[in-house]
Amino acid sequence: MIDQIYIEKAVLEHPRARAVMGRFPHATVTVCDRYGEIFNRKAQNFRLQKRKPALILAGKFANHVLPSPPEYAIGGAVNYYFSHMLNCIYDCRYCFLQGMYRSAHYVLFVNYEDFCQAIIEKIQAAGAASAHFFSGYDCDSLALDPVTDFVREFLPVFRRHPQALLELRTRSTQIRALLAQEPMPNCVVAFSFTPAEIAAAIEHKAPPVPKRLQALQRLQEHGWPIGLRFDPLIYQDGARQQYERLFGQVFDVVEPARLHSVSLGSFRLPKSFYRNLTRLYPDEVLFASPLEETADGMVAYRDSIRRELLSFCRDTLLNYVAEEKFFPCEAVITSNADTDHGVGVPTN
Amino acid sequence: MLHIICALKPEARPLLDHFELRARPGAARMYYNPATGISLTLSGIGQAAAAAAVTRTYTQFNADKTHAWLNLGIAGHTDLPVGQAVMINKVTDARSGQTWFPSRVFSVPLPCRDLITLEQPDANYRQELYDMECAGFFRAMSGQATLELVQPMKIISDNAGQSLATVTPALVRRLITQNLPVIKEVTGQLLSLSALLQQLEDPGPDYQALTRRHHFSVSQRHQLGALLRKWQALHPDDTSPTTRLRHHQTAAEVLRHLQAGLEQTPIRLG
Ligand code: SF4
Repeated sequence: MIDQIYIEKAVLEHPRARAVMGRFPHATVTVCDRYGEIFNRKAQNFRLQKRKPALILAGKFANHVLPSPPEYAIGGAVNYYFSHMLNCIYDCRYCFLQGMYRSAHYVLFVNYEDFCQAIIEKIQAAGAASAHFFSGYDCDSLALDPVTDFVREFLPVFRRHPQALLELRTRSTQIRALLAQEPMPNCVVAFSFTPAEIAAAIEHKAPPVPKRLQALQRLQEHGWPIGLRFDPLIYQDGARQQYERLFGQVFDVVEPARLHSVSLGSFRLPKSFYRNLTRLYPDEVLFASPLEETADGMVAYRDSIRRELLSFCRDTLLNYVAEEKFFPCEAVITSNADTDHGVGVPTN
Repeated sequence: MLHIICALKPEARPLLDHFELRARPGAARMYYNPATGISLTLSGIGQAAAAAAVTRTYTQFNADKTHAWLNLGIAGHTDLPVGQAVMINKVTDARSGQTWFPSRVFSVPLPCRDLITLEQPDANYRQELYDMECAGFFRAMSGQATLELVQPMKIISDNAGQSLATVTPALVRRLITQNLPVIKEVTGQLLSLSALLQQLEDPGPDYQALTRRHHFSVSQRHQLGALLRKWQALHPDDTSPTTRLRHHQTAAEVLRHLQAGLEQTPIRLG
């Protein structure tokens, strides 16, 4: 699956880097100084690279944990996100990562210990206030877990700090590491969904909706708190009926007692990302949808469509979900202090 | 289009024959086959010559980011067998220490190694391949081409057991000839990537026909391009919207008509 690994000189001997390389014994390994030499180069083509992404093993030396936009909160007093990985093995056509990054290669920051330390410091700084941490902004939290061991390495931090909450956001079915552990009330596994017809058309390589539902069910039976993320809402002919059917399928499976939170958000992208995406995929029906620029520099569905779909979904969801567990989120983008290209739009 | 840059005539000869490349009139040491979209430029030895060949080719073919580039030639290595074709992961200029990382998005059944570009031939063989052009090729390509469309490919001509002194023009021709199947595979991959990018950039025949027929301002041209692309996405089987736009008198009318048509088209993602 991975033919080419780039590795920063500084992490050549890092045990996690060695373990990950051990999983791809046939891959060619190329040493570089900093991952940006490969990842941030100009004139790369994301669409072409997506055919055969390489894995870049790197170290992250600052800004391990960053404030997340308050609009994405699910009840926390202070909210942070962290990205042990950049990019994703799936290929959802609406994914903002395609518009944000120049490269489709996967970057894995192997110095988890520094991330964990930074998380602990934020938890301690929050004191009695509930601190929430989101891990699925720049990647799918679980999709590459068998390779990254993310769950096994990060969950103990939260087990030791039950006052803090971790959200794992995913479209994947890679739940083995979670099933091997005692569930934690402060770790929410949040599954993202679009209706099956839409997922099949534009969530390329991601597990189909029924498989995600099976994974959700197994985790729920095991005792893990579950989150539901209907974000982004995608419009097409018949979207209302398709979302109605999706909500029915999902709530046939979800046990109210295990449900932590439900959130909802419309499809939107910063204008510059949208421009990049339409250059990469001029032939994509999604980008021929009735989209328009908003006053705050975003591209979103035309106001009437956006409002109509949002309010329909909100009203329908409130038939299933108690209001205190429901977190509709409207489009807000904030700049990310970590990099010159980051935004606070969740991918998963 | 694909542009091959070779240092030496013996490297180029089998390719000129195989790809039926003919001398390009008015362009010295440049060969071309318009039917296949493949060109070959002979650079001569050394980084500066390779860089100059890239620049000449770029200008001659009015190249853009959809064109593909291949630096093909011989190289030395400590223990890879003579005649082995190799793809390159990292190119280092021995003089400056500058590095380039070719980005390959297709698989070929060849070993992949790092390469160092030296100023002079060197009998101290090492784990990296060495040549005398590749860094110059990459330096000249920087910012000029899409990275995934720029590849080096080297054929081992000498190693610790079979020194540079044994390399003759006849041997070089033979080594290139025996690797033609894999060279064809690599050139085929690069041509198909180039064709894909060309297709994505191409606003299509309707754009050309409409801009010939009406006066579109620069911003209207952008709008037209965007609307036609959406139209093609939503109506992939509609081969000729131009015909139906015939009776419109002005550019603005055409744009309004396309916009209105798009608004009425149901969005079906599947
Ligand atoms: S939206 Fe999420 S699952 Fe889909 S490609 Fe992006 S990161 Fe991966």
